[in-house]
Amino acid sequence: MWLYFPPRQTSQGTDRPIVLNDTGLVMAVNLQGTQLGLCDTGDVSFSQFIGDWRQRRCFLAASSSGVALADMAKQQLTWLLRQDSEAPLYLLAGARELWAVVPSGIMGIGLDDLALAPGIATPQAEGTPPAGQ
Amino acid sequence: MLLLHGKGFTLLSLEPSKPEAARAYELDREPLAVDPGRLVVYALSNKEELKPPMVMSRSLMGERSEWQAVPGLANLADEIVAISKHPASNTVWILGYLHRAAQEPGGSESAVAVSPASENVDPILAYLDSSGNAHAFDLGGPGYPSALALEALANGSALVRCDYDLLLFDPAHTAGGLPWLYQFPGIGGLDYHFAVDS
Repeated sequence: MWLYFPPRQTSQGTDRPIVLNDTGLVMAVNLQGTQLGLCDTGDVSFSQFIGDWRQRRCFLAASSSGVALADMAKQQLTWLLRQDSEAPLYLLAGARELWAVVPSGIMGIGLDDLALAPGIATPQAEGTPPAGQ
Repeated sequence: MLLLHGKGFTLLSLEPSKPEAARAYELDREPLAVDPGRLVVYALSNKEELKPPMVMSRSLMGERSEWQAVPGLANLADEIVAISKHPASNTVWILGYLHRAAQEPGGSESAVAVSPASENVDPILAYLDSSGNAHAFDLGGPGYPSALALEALANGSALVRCDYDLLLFDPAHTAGGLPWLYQFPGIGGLDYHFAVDS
């Protein structure tokens, strides 16, 4: 399973130390509670994520930011799609297909094809924050 | 095959290799869970129409189909917040709230004072097994009514977030009645979201 911890939060609860968490984190954990991998996701607060452990990757989406890929093997975050509007993004999974749906009509883009779609997706440097962030 | 839902409760069936074969289904209520393999949609009855809410399902096979109540999953909770079914499992899970008026001892032994302002809210977890039998459990616990979330797993079990705790429930683990199996350590204290592998 996958856990996503948004950035900029403080731990809560009795007897817990105050810990500032400046950056986000995505973590893969098996059902026995063993941590399998993790990746720093920067200071963007993502609203959706989909994990694909077979390929050691996790896709994360944030409206007004875009879609990023967390490579759990390399522990790298790469932006696949950049968006500067407030239009919502939907990450959807099913039948071993991963899609990002952008709200320009009914449009689905296979996440594997995001970096290849001219005019839609521009691969970004690792960890580069989106414009306006 | 991919099923997705959006505004207007339109459910789309997309196949990446055959975009021309996309099909749209207009639904009159918001689908809360989909089973792509069997083309079944799960939703709630209209809350204005029926209280408590009723879990309903609709098959997308054929030209027309009707919503049907899921046997055993009706009238389980006053409010349902999540329905989840993994395509590889036949177990349907639901998560909801049960509202109870707090009862306190009154001035005499026979009197019971009910305070509407101090209503108790208990999270309810239920599942419908592959034989169609429903099982419901009061999760209780202080602080648990907040931040409820549910994800069904391929092996028939489910992950449930109650407050900051993440719990694993397995129908095969019935010791003590509640199929609670495992609590993941080290999560409490930070806000988080969880998902199962796609």
